This record gives sequence, structure tokens and C-alpha cells, in this order.
Amino acid sequence: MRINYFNSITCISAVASLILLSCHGNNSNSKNGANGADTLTKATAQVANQADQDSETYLLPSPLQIASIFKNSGLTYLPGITAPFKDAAAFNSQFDRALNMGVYSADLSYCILNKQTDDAVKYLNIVKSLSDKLGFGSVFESNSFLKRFQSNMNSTDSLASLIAELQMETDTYLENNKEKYIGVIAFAGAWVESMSTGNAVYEKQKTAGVSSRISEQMNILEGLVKLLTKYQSADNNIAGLIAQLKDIKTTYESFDEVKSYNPDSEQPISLTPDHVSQLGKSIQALRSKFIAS
Amino acid sequence: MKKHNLFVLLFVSMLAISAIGQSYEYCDTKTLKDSCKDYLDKPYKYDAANIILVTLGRKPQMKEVELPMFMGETYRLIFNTYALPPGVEIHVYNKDADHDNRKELFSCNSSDASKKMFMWDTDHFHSKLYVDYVIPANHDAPPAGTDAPLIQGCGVLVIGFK
Repeated sequence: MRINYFNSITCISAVASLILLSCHGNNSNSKNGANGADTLTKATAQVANQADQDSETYLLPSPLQIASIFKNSGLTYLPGITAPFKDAAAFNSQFDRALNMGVYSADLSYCILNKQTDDAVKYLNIVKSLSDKLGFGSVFESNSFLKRFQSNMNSTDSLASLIAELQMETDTYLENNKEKYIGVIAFAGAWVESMSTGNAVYEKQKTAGVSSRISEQMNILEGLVKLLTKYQSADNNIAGLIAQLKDIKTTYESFDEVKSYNPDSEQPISLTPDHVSQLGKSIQALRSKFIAS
Repeated sequence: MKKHNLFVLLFVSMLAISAIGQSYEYCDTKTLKDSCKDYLDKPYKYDAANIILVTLGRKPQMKEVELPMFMGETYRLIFNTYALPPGVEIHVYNKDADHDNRKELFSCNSSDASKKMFMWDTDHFHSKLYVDYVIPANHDAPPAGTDAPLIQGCGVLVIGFK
């Protein structure tokens, strides 16, 4: 009898939840129908102001795209230049977790594109643990990413596609939960780690293509600083990060070849080897702070 | 049996809660972005996405989004205009709106009821691209600061790289 009573309550609750779910689903469908008039809903002026603030005016690339660009320019794999493996529990604040999730995401992409699958699995597990701690580990579970990753270990292209899919799901999650600032902090970690890797390989091999890619990546820094400034109030540590990134930008802008560069040119700036090294030192110093946190 | 029912209850409730937890009532970003996936087939992979939120006011508006591009790379831009109000024009340029001599590379608009998804592959290197959303005026829009309803919508741009 108790079980029957419990069953009834459970069924009623489940049906009520499904009705709630289906109402929302219908709403979404009507919004996305082919008729433009159906796509509109009404809001108030207050909501409109919020909407204006939430629209982005600058788009950041994915860590996989940056790793792919470096790879295409001749960046090879060097052991020992990626971040040391750490337990996610080593990072105490949400800021450090987000920053290092970016660092490990960049290393994950670097390892995948260079067929270092054992290390890639280790980095993927750290990224997942950090995602759990940041509150969006469900992104991995909803699409069985770890399982699919394991079963595609022999195909670099399939692994890269999986990472791209994971990035899309993470971006959507952060967007829907008004946590886009976490994605921007993570990108800062990924960008610094990618630049650090590019610089470390350049110092060993002096590949000309990598040098021009390093200068090309500096174009992203201005947009990154703009986005971090927009989200500055979300975390007290963002202001310090902005200041550190601006220092790198100042170093870069002090180079003669940068000062004399025509902004309408569609060729990246060719930095001198000394300037690549100087820039690299600034980036390595910041990266050391990130991974020591 | 009891454990099984509890699990079902918890699972269904979580589904319902997650479904109503969308960012904007008028913009189901997940559905809109997911519908772009069909256009992101091999060799393209997801790179980034942008959601532009639109509110029709008494004056026309323009919103510009800057996209960083990299030398030697080919990109695919996918625009989903399902949730945009009719009359929104989308233009892709090689320079920002402050330049007089900029070149239009692609355009589409949200007025065509039969076509809501648009796709464009870059065919030439540009260090940056600029996407301009030209938003028409709604002369019946209520004055700012009132609680009267407004017409809103959103546009989704998904970028893929080779």
C-alpha cells in the first residue's frame, strides 16, 4: 500500500515535470520556426538593456584553433614544455581553476595534434576534473566524451573533432548559465599556454613560420583584454590578470617593427629573433604564475 | 522499486529544471546553435560562436562583431536568423565601420521566411572580419523606462575552421 501511494506521487510529479518541460519545448519550437513573425517574443525595456550588455562585440578563437595554426606553421612536439600534470584539487579558487582549465585545454590540443595520445588522455582527465569543480562537468557526461575519446585514440582528426564539439558544448553551457566570464578567463590561460609553447619550440628550432604566428596571435590580446574588462566585476582576480596581459602588450608595442607596421596590411608582423625571445620571456613569466597557483 | 521511482522522479525533474533555465526567454541559444551543426561538416570544426541580442527601438541600430582570422586558414561562417525579427540585415566586411573604403564580402537578411540559415566560406585571407547587424527601427516601440512590451530576437553566428 505504501509502495502504491509512493508510486502515485512519483507518477504525478513526473507527469507534472514533463508538462513543464513540454511547455518550454513548444515555446522553443515556435521561436525557431521558419516564419519570422513566430520568432518574436515580447520583453520590457529593462530586459532590453541587459540584452545589449550581454551581446559580445569581439569573438575569441578556440584553443584548438590556435594549436592548429601553430601546428600548420611547422610547430613540432617537444617533450617537457607543457604544464605539469596536477590534481584539480590543487587549485583553490574558481579563478585558478578556470585559468588552468584553459592552460590544460591548450596542452590537450597540442598533444592531440602531435599524436601524443597518452598525455592527451591525462590532460583531458584534468580538464574534466576542473570542469566538475567549476560546475559544468555534466557537459562531458551528457555526450559520453571520455568514452568516445578513448575509442577514437588512433585518429587525430576524430579526436580534434571531439575537442571542438566539447568546446561548443562548454561555450553553450556557459552562455546559458550567464558564466561567460569563466570562458574568457579560461581563454586567457589557453592563450598564454599556447604562446608559451610556440615560443619554447621557436627558441629550439627557430622555425620562421612560428615567429610570424606569434606576432599574429598578438592581435587577439587586445580583444581578450576588452572582454576581461567587461567581466571585471565577476571576479576580483580579473583586474590583476588584465594588468599582467597589458604588460605583455606594452612589451610587444615597444618593438620598432610593431611601431612601423601598417595596420591595413594583410601580412603579419615579422618579429626579430631577439624580440620573439623578449616577448617569450614576458609570456613565460606569466605562465609560471598561472601553473604555480 | 522505491529506488527506481526516486531515480525517475529526480531525472525527470532535473530535465524540466534544465529546460527552463535558459539564458533568455526569447533566445534558445542551445537549439539555435545546435541547428548550425548540420552545416559544420568535415573538414570544418567548431571554432567559436556569437549570440547577438536584438531589441527593436525607435531608431535603427547597428551592432558590429569583430572576428579574428589567421593567415592561410579557411573559415566557414554560419548565420542562424530563425530568432531574429524580420528586416535585420547582416553584412560581412573586411574592415570595421569606421573605414570608408571597406569591402563587403557577404550579406544576408532575416526577412526571407523560406531561408533562415546562411553559410559563407572565406576565400581570401583577411586578418580580421567584421559582421555588422543592421537593425531596423520599430516606430511603435515604447519609450525607454516603461514596462510596455518590446520586440526582441537574437542572431546566432557559428564559425568553423578547416
